[in-house]
Amino acid sequence: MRSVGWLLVATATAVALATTACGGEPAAEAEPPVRRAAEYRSERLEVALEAASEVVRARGFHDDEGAALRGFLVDRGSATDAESLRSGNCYVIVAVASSAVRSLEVALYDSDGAAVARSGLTPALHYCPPTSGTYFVAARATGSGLFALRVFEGPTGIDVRLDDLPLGQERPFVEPAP
Amino acid sequence: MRGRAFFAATLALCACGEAAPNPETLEAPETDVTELIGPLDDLARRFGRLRRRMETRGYGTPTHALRTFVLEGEGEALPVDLPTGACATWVALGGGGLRDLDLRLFDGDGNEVAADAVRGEGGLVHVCPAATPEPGTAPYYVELRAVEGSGAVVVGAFASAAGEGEGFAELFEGLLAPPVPFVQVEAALGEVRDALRERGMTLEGEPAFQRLVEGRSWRVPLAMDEGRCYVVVARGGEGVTDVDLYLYGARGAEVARDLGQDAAPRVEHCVQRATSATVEVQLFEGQGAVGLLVASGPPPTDEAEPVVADEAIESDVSLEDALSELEARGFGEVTRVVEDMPILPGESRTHALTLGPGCVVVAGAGGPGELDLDLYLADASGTVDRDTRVHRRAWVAACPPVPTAYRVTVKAYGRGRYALARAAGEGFSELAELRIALALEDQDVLGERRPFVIGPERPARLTVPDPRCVRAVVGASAGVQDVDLLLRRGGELVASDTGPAPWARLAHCPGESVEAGAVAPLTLEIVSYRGEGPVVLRWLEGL
Repeated sequence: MRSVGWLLVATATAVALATTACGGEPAAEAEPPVRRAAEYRSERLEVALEAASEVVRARGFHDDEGAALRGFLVDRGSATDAESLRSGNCYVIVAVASSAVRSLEVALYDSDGAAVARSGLTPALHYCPPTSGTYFVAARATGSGLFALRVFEGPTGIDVRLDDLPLGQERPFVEPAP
Repeated sequence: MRGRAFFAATLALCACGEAAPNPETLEAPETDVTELIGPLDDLARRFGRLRRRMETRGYGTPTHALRTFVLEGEGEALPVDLPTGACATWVALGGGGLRDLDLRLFDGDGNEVAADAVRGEGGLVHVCPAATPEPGTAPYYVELRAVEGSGAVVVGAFASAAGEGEGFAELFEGLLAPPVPFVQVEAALGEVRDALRERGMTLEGEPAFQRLVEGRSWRVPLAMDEGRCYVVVARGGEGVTDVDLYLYGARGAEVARDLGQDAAPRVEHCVQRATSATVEVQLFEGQGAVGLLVASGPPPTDEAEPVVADEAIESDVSLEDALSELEARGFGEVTRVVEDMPILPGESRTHALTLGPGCVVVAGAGGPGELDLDLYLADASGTVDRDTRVHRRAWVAACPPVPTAYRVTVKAYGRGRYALARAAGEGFSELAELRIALALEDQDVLGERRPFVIGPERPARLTVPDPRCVRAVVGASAGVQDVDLLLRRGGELVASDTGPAPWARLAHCPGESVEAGAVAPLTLEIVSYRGEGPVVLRWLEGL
């Protein structure tokens, strides 16, 4: 969470200061939203993430629409985020990354830090937690670039397929070296 | 974190207002942003010079600056919002142990749009986001990554109009450490490694390398196993003229050092119990690459095993350094005994000499490179002196009252050539004093003289008269082949010299905190590791 943590702080500070500097008034409603670097929003990634999300939703999972973990990963760097998962449900995690990221791995760790699920050839995983609690989602990149990650919740008993998700990558992800 | 948030925030501010910032009218911040880069240290001064060059070349004053820290192999990404239709330049300088810094720029979709072409610990990226119909900003990400080494990084941002500025050729000239070829140091340590292996020693891990500037130190922890002897060797590369080596015990006391005025220091230390230690390499003069290796083995055995062989080996050996050193230590007339003789690994060669009357030193030097040479001096009764330190030079001595026949045996732990010379010790009347002269370092001044008679079971113990700083040297007579000095506070060993020589030298200056406290007195032990007989202790004055 280290890198993303400060990025989120930076985002909040930057936006707050930017707002203040603009006179304390909210941005004009008619004006198109201004993209801020500290928000880590790439149109290309948003499209890819949304396309994959549509497929996952069609397979019985739902999400807090629009919510995603976003950031910039430096080569061989990682980002983590805490998620509250409940037993009796299953979860799907899908991630996308920009073109300079050569491979992206998504993994899920329990509250003790033990790995409970890991992505395969595509940066997505499916997990049904046996106990409710805090889990940690981690994204690790080879190559540098932007990433976005979304968590979906769904029922148990669905054998969800993840290897055909339209992740919008220019080339297939390769399995990260162990 | 605060610095990065500030960076993002202040760059976001550029996008505010009715109109996009025109780079030609971009004003420098009211406060000098370079104050944000922390203390006025060497890194800040170098960045100051870089900043002035950017200003001189027409890129204005920095609009943003920060200091961060990167570990080797890791990096940071800084989100920045750039005004469209203008140009931005980021420059970065690394300090400390950072040897190669990589700076890259990614656009708002994560595509790499600029990469740093500056070698070493400098970095520069320059970008001019295309103008848009409506004034605004475009998101970018500046990535800093430590490719080699770790250290602090100062980053500065400059804004300019498209086409403005004189360019960046030679912008970093003189601001970056010169490229340091480790090849030379690696080769030198390779020779040392071969010599140590020939001697049956085992390397403790891989050799380590650092780039150091004058006055800087480099500390490396070392685990020492029970009953083993350790050899620590450092080598300096081009531009490095004097490297010193210290070995500190588990409690921080100095147990060995080599302060010779060269770039090839070496210390040896044997331990009876497993312990931890710290090696400190200090670059006393010059700057450049420094390498370090540690090897260990069982305590040295006494006898040389004769193996005779002969082979043509290119001549590359000189006694000059050794002889100059002898002259500097007060020895007189020098006579060459063996000019240039080949020797093979493990081979022993014996030469007959008549020495005396009076004290004489026989010095040997091996080559090429790090050929490790041992010398044994024997009379009709057997071996009377030996020098088995891991070194390319060795010397043995005797003080016969009448002309006496001796055999000098040379043993090599490597393949090369050697030379021998003898030097008269005219100013010395006894062997112990002569050996003290061999153990002295340049700054030493001899003080009070204390004779003792010791044996393996009969060490001499004396309370140190001045506990503020203990400096002493001991030389043994012919009966003692290996003498050690141990300094204890109460029962605790605080410093020692346990090398395999008939002399020992010890220097220990406890810190202020030790002096201030009411602590047990310091006791110096003179221990014979092999043989028994008279020894002479001299307190040292001077530095």
